[in-house]
Amino acid sequence: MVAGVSLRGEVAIVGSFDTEVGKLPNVTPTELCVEAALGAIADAGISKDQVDGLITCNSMAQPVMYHAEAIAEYLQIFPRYCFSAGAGGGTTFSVIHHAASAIVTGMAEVVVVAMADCMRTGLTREQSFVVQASTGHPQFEQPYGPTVPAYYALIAQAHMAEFGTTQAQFAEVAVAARRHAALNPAAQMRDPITVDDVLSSRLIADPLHLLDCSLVSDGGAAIVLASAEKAKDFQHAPVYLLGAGEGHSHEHISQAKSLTTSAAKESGDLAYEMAGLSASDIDFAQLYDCFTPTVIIELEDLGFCDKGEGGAFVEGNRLGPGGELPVNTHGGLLSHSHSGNPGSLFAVTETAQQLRGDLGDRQMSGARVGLVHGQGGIMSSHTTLIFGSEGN
Amino acid sequence: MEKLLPPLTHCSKPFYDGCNQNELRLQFCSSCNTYQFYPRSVCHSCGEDSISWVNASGRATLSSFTVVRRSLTDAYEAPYTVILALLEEGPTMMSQLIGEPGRCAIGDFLLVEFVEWGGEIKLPLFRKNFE
Ligand SMILES: [Zn+2]
Repeated sequence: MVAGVSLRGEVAIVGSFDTEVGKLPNVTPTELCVEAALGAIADAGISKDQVDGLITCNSMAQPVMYHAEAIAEYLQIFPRYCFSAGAGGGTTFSVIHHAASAIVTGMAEVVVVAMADCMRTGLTREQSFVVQASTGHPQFEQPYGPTVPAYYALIAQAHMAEFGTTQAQFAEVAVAARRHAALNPAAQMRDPITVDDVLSSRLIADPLHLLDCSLVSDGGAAIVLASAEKAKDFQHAPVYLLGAGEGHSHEHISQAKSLTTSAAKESGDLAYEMAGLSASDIDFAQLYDCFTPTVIIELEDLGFCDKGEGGAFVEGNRLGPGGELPVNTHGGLLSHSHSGNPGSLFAVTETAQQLRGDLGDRQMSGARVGLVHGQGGIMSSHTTLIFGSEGN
Repeated sequence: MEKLLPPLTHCSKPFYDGCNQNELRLQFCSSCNTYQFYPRSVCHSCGEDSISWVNASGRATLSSFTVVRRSLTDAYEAPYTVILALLEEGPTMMSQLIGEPGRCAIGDFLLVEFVEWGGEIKLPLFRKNFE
């Protein structure tokens, strides 16, 4: 592979904003997306007229034909770089990779990434279940009645059989997420839970219990990106993108080459290489947690532990507040919110806040480098980003 | 509410015709001697279109499974077992396991069976093979 221009330290997050999450019955996905965009623009301390790039993702609850263009029109901004992307939960991080490239190549100077959806109140529970399950192959998967939890349960079951991973170890991931959420007033679910609570919650698709599954939420978030050079002039300390990498291995789980090793391996290797860092340099990580087993596989594939040892790695509150490797410090998709494709953008805004160092109760002391990892489809498309408080 | 039926395409029609005749059909590429599933217009390995339909043995091993407790829609009666079956010929396919939900383990031997799914369509399901 030929290495291109390195993005390391060239681009920074200069604004970030989260909307409320949970049940938001009186607002549309478009309105939430606009609120998120304007919030991030205000946080950056600029006017919307300074934005010349806009990236969004479509809503599942109220799809719009040309989404980014519709949001730009609503906001009355007139970007020279504008698109909406769709790669499931991996979209959010993948577009940041694209936006950084666009800034470095001069396609845009100030790019807003804004995403929102209303999975909770914009769809019935049944609609939400069916819409999301349509990620399956329409001819050769969906007729058999798999649900999204079922797709991930196939992965979990394989990991258990191959490495002896236990349901109690999956549950540890949910418990750690809830411990973080307890410190975050914005999180949807904040009451403490135990491993036993997870194991005694009802089975959704064996071996996944209700509390192994992420939430269904309304919500949106946005960030503003600018070149590192320009970033120094904004009101908050810049949060630099140090590494980015992607890996795309399949779309349908029945076509995956492996159920237990993912393309997080490739995306992670590329991101570490660009950043000149390794897993041991990471102070905290936000790992895509649509279901608890994904975190265990991502920890392995991203090099935080050896393949097959993810189950043992998450024991003993290692991922929780004050743990050796805090993971999903806002509560993640499991306890903060999961508004569909936009859900993982909260992991980026959280990372930006942690690296700025202004998070109050849940601020990690001395956090300088954070890794975020997103995946979409069924462990299909992966993006790893590494952010730091210091640039080049 | 009905179960989901596969939207038929010209490319996949021989597969479903096979199911209706209790035959599990795969595509075979004579350029590179590779079986493939799902059906494609070209060989996924070498890109040639020298593809013909052949009958598979119907034997498979269980790559993974899950018992779905909260069904996709009312048309699917939970619990049911969704599986990934590794066919003897190499490709993997998603399916359901016939028999008591959850009475299976990864590595179990499976044998195909064709089951009415609605419309005019039968789908290949699998049963544990004790032979
Ligand atoms: Zn071929």
